[in-house]
Amino acid sequence: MFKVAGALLVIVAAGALGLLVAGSYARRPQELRALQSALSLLETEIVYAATPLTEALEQVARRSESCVSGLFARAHAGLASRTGSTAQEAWERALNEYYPNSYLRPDDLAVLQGVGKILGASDRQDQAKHLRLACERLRTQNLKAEEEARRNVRLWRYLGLFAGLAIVLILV
Amino acid sequence: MGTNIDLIFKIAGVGILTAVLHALLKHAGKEEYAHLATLAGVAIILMWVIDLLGNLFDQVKTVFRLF
Repeated sequence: MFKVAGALLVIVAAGALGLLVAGSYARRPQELRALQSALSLLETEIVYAATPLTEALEQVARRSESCVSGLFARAHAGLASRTGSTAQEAWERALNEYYPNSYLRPDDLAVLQGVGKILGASDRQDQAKHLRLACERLRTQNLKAEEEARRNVRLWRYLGLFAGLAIVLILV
Repeated sequence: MGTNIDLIFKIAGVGILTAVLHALLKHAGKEEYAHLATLAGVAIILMWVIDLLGNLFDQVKTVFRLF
């Protein structure tokens, strides 16, 4: 009886671990896509609506998908609190809080940090150009991430389960 | 006899698992890990049957009086 329960526990735990790893591979492309659309939203706000950056960030936070809206909400909060920080500092601080809880890689972080350098630092056309460039770089990262996800998600989903089964079989 | 039947079923289980793992890893483009998994399966089963193999060779020796 205890043996069966233990075996079930091991299998479930290993399977869940596999699903967790698979999930991290599957989430990264989603987040990159959400970031792309959020950045193009920000570009629209800046170029066509000429919204002040604080409000633009708030708009983007409200209209983007939930997995990235936290980043823009934090950047907005940092700017709106009027503690004397520049847009770049607010953006960096938001990134530092957002990045550990996201599924992004260091290369994606570098692209986003590049966005912070130009936010509110030059005229509209220049910012738009940089935002479009960041979008483009995120798009290439996204292609790579999707390729990686396609190969790894199924692998890890099954690998966890089979590793659990193997452990049980070896220990029985 | 009972333990031997159990052992055969365990070996069959590990065999099926290694076959699936090999196919899975190969499909994901990690051929070196696929071969490693197969090798691990062989090693684990060898650990289980090694003393049985020793018994077998001992018996062969006694049958042919090779002492």
